[in-house]
Amino acid sequence: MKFLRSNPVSRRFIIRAAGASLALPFLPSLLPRRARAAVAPASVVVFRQANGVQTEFANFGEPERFWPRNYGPLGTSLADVDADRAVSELRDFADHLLLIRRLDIPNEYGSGCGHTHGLNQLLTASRPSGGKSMSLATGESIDNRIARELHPGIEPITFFCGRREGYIDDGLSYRGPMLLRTGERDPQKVYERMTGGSSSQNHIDLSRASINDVVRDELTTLQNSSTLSFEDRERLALHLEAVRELEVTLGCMADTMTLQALDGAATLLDTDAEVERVARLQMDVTALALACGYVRAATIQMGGGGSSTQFVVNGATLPRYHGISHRNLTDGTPSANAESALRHHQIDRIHGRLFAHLLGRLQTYGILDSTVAMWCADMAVGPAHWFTSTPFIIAGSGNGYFKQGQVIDAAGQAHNRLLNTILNAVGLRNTDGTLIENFGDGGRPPGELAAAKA
Amino acid sequence: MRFLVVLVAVGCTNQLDKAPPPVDDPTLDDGPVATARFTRLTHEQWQNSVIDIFRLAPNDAVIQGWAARFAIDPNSRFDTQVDVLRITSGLWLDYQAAAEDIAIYVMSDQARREAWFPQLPADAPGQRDTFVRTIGARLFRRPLTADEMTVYGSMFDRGLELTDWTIPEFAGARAVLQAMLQSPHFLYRTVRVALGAPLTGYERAARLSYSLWHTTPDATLIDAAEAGRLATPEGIKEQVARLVADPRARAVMRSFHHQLWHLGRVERTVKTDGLYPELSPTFGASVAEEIARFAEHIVMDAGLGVADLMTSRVAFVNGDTAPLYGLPPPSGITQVTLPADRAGLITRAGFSAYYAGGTTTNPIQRGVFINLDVICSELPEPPTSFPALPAPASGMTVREMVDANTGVGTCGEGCHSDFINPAGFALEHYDAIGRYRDLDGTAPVNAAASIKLADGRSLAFNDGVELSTLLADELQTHACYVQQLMSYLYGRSVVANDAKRVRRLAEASLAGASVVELVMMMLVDDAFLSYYEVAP
Repeated sequence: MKFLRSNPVSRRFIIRAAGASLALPFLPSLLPRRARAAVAPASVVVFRQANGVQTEFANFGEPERFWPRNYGPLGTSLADVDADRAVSELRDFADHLLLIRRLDIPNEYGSGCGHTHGLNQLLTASRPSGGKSMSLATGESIDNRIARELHPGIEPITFFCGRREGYIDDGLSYRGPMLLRTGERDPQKVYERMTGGSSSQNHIDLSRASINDVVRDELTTLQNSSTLSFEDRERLALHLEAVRELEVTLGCMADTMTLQALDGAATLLDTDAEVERVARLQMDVTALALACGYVRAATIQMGGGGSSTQFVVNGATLPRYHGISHRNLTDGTPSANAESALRHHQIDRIHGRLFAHLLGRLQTYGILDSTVAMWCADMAVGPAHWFTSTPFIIAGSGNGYFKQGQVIDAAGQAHNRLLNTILNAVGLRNTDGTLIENFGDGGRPPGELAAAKA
Repeated sequence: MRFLVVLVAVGCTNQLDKAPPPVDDPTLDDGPVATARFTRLTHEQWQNSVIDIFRLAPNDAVIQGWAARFAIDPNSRFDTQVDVLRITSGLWLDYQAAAEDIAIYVMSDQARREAWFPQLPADAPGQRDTFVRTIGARLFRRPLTADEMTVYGSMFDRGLELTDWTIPEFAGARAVLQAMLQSPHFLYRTVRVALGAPLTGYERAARLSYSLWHTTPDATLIDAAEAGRLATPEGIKEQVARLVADPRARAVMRSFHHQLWHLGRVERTVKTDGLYPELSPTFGASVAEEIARFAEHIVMDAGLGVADLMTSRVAFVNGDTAPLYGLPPPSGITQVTLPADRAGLITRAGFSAYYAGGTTTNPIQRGVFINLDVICSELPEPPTSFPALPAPASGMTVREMVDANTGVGTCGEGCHSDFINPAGFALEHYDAIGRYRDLDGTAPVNAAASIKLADGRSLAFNDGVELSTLLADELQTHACYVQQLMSYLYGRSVVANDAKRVRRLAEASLAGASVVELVMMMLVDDAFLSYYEVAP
């Protein structure tokens, strides 16, 4: 069974590499003419920060350093009045931003670990299973939903940036209940997978097709040969689903500079001092994938839950991020520390600059407005693991679906409403054509986030 | 997956929720447990299997490179757990790319090829059948069926079409190799027998080999399988003894302990802000290795058991760790006996150093580690978010602060006061980098406390050394190690129907059985050698 990667509004380049890959300089003029005139299909990219942000926390005497001062139109405030706030790093894109305050991730499920609790719910709106650091979400995530409806057979892009710590690593993307999708760390690997699906060499295509036939037969025989437990059945089904031919691959190429940067990215993956460089490369590949229509959903998870990445600020290596977010540099019970609060703010700015880099790439490819880019975090207040007023920053409108240039008050609604709105912005609907209003496990009132809609 | 605690944990409240079950509970019985029919090779097992099948060097960079590139599995308690071993779309593409590359790699260099390539007859059909039969048996860990001979034979015949090579038998071999390396019969260890039936000799050989060596069965195991010697407990024991004596089993047990005690975290112990300028950059690695080497010695060299893990003062120290124990730094690594203010596992510097802040100890984290990972006392979930705590009154010791925030009279009463905090207080003599101390600031250290066990009894102790001795003599400690080792070797969670099995082993351990003897007992158990599903 061959899957055609069909997409009604195709944005693929006609150019294909013959044999060895050609590094074509990427020029906007190489975009198909209609791409510049017509509307690109909406896509989603989620950039998730660990350990919360440094926002107002009276218990520790910490002032607001993340959000702008006012609600309403942003105007130029990020460049002047609010230049001391972390979101000011997005000042070049103010007209495209929607800052959503007072949106909550449900708090009461008691998974016993603040870091899995928020992370698991973030894109699933499903209660986490119990089990502290081993906790998993009990539903699929929005990137999975978008991918399986809009381009079945092609998984969403799932990036993980930073060291894996063997504690709580991946937790954003779910194929289904308890079926965590782990991220790729190497942007070159993802790029090669995007561009190398089929080959110009006939024998490779032929041998792959032959082997796939044999493998599918073997799997089917195994499925039928004995009484299988539910888990075994599920195991084989997932495997069988994975065995498929990839039809013609896109000829979408990165520019020479990016290709050179990608080469050797693999050596940087475990070096904390290189996380920003790696994140930017992951974003470059993601933006390219969206621009070329390879996928319609992508996520970039910056560190695991409770990430202990040591960022570099002004040439100095900071203590572990998790310790900073707890203020007293331990992984245990937090206590106030003004210096750590300031350091957390610096880390928020780093994430803001990274998100700005992503927006810049989307803008270069001419797809910023058609994308729903989202900067979010597992929790709001790091030290106390609070989930009320968790940061959600939308950039791009999904072709006019979202408000732009504003700071809005979600007034304590739950974030499932934002997820519903995102799915609708991308063009998903219920089977009867109505807007999606009930993504997730239904633990919170359904509906969209009306205040966010244009 | 959560661990079953054989001795039922009481609720973490002021009073006992319910009486613990009597020791000879007749409702606890060896029962059928769900095992998987299809256990995918872990990435490490894949790597080792490919290296061994093609007789490559143990550290072959190309094969290691492929395994390191594979899509990563979700975290689980142990990397052997079948629940997380799935073939996803990304991993399948990885396997495909690796198979294509490896088929060329093992054949394109003459010396590499000759290390494994079978002697082929002169006639083409003979070449096809010999190659497919010989290599198929190695890759699938059993003889091929007639159907498989046909399918892969036809692939061999189409070698010139399916590859760009021009020598027919090489092209055919390459075509077959890249196919077999993608077959579920290579990628999974499969069990085909009926429910409740004993595994075949080949299936047992694979289970033994992947449990103890993390690689494909060697020729001796296959011979034993074919001769029917794996059908008897004596035959199994003979092979287990052989496998355990090999350095590969040592590496497997090292991996078990590394995961059991989260030594990966200990390795990353970092003290920043110039608090301890005397610590070298290798501090974390050294304190973790000290623990790993200790356990390796106890289990694999000295042939001892769980009690010794808790109490022995043998240690292997280097320039980083010797000073922590008040010993002169050696050149290289040297075996020592630690001073009497130390005992076994829980008193080792690495745990105290990791579960600590900058200059303060962290009794709560130390206590949680002991409860969950050393004695398997089930603790309920902590609150997901917590109220900000008041700043400590000046002059409070860490213990006093922890007591004030989580002890009797607070919301932490029960869980913290009875289970977590006492275990942590036991280690208060070991500072934030694991050195012995008598003072916390200016106040004398108070490491005396009383910890509640899962069955409701309390153990009173004066310090970590005493606690270690007491715990070494508790069935719960032995059961904890047993069930985690079982989970690791069996590749699945320990469940209710394992209870009697776990108790038998725990009692044997308490009576002095070595860890190696426990391994032997686990691998001759019917649960390991037969196929079951949970009764509906």
